[in-house]
Amino acid sequence: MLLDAADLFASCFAHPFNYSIEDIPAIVEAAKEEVSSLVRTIAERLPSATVLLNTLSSSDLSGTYHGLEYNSSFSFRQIVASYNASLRELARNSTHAVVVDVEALIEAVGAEHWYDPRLWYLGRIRLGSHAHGLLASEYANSIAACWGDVRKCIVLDLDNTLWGGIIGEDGMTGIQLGYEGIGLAYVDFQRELLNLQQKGILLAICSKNNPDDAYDVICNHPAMVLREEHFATAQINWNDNAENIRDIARQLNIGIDCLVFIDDNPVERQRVREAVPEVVVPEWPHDPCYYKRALCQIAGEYFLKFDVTDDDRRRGEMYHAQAERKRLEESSGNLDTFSRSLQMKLTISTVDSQTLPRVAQLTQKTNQFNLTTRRYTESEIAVMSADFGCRVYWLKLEDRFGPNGIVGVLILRKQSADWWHIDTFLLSCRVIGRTVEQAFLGYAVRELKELGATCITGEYISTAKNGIVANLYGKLDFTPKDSEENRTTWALDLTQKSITVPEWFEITDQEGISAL
Amino acid sequence: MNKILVESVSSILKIEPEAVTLETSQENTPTWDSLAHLRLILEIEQNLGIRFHSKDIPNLTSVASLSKALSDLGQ
Repeated sequence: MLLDAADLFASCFAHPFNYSIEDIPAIVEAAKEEVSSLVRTIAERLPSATVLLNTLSSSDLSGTYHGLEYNSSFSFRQIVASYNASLRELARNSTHAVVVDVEALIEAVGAEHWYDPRLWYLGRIRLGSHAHGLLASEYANSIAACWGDVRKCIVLDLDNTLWGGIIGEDGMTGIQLGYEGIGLAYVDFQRELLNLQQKGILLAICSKNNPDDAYDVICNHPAMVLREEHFATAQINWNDNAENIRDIARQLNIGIDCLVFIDDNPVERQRVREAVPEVVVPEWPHDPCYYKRALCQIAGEYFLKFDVTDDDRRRGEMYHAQAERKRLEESSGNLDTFSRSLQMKLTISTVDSQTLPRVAQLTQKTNQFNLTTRRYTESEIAVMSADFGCRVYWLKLEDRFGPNGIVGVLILRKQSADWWHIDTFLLSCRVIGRTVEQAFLGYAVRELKELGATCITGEYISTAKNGIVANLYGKLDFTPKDSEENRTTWALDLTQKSITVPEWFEITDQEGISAL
Repeated sequence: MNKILVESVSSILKIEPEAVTLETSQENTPTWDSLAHLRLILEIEQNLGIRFHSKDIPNLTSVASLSKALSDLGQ
């Protein structure tokens, strides 16, 4: 929904001098109570719904307050500011509400271009048509972000993108990068990229260059903000960009439709758009002064997030460590030796308020190792966690290369006294191939047995991306039951069989108590 | 008749360009409701880079009146 200050605080608008600054807390409290009771009602009637609330703007004030704001006891800004602040509290305490910062949008466009008095008087439409477009895309992006429909990785060119000039021709001292002149535009652009990286967006390099020249700048140039460890992977060679981009998606084990490609060269952009249409290739300013602004726009469109989890903050680091694991895997011939040498420690527990955002995020984003691809919002997970007939487990993995964070979700629903069904079973792609799934399910099965379960069923619903787990239940010794077009169901008789946790795992519950 | 006027009427009111005549009006066009009217005005304004006066807008409910208003504006 969209609320306007002129509606929510109509009487303050109409009679500005009937109120002074002392009355504001009560006025705002009343409005806040009205909105939160609305959110509560919606949450009760539609437990899975998420309500989009919006910040208000005071920029369409009449001349009344001119000079009075900050100088007298009359203020409208104070009303709007404290109302907006109360939304923060509301959104943080409710899994059902998300705030869209419409005030920021109005600030960027200007109230003059936002409100259209002519449309208001002719048709009681408050906003101008340009504003409607901006508002619609802001809400669309927010809804997409609620569903986890966001991109994961920015693929960057180097020459004339991360720095000015061409390293192969201009050399280390010839390129523009630093605090002098235009060089600062590239530094600021890199800083903004680093911020995104710390928000959990992966960075990768795709550049036609001589690798030695490029790495010399990345590792040794004093003004580089982004260093080797910030990039999840790099393709620096003379191959075709489209091929390199496909390789990047493969190496990172993410879908090609999770990438955004930034290149200053319109020919390269066009080439990538045509060859790999799944990749977003935004138009890019010719002038580096506008790089940072263009990036901020892309961030709002493709990388919108309502929270930054610990996993987000460490994601870049973890992908970097992943590359080292790959090297170890390649050097140790068989899987058992590799698994043992990783010294894996698992933490498994049921979801709570702290882990809820990450669990919802995983259901929304995991495509490959995902048996049913059921997407859940935070509100939906919250409902399940409160249900005794439902167990929502998460799994955290740490190994000798460092923590991986929460990388697995398992949701089980009780069907009858002794029968449980696997609603959701997923692992983040970065831990595939390490027998984690066996340990995870083995642990859960052991717990369910204690609760009296004798039978567990699971299903595989095929999608374009989850072929890797088509026979997972078969491998875990389940018996096939039914098979429809895109769905196969499986059962495990717990009176006859069980799932053993491989001996190379150390498993603890959340309190750190050894669970096996 | 002004080509952009015809195109605007056709696209907003969802009628074939050939069917747009001077006789086309809110009276005989079911899709020409009050919201479509404002959208049509905005569309014409945007496409031609002009602005109608708000006092005229409620009366511009036929292609004939729109066409006359445009010629008054030098279009």
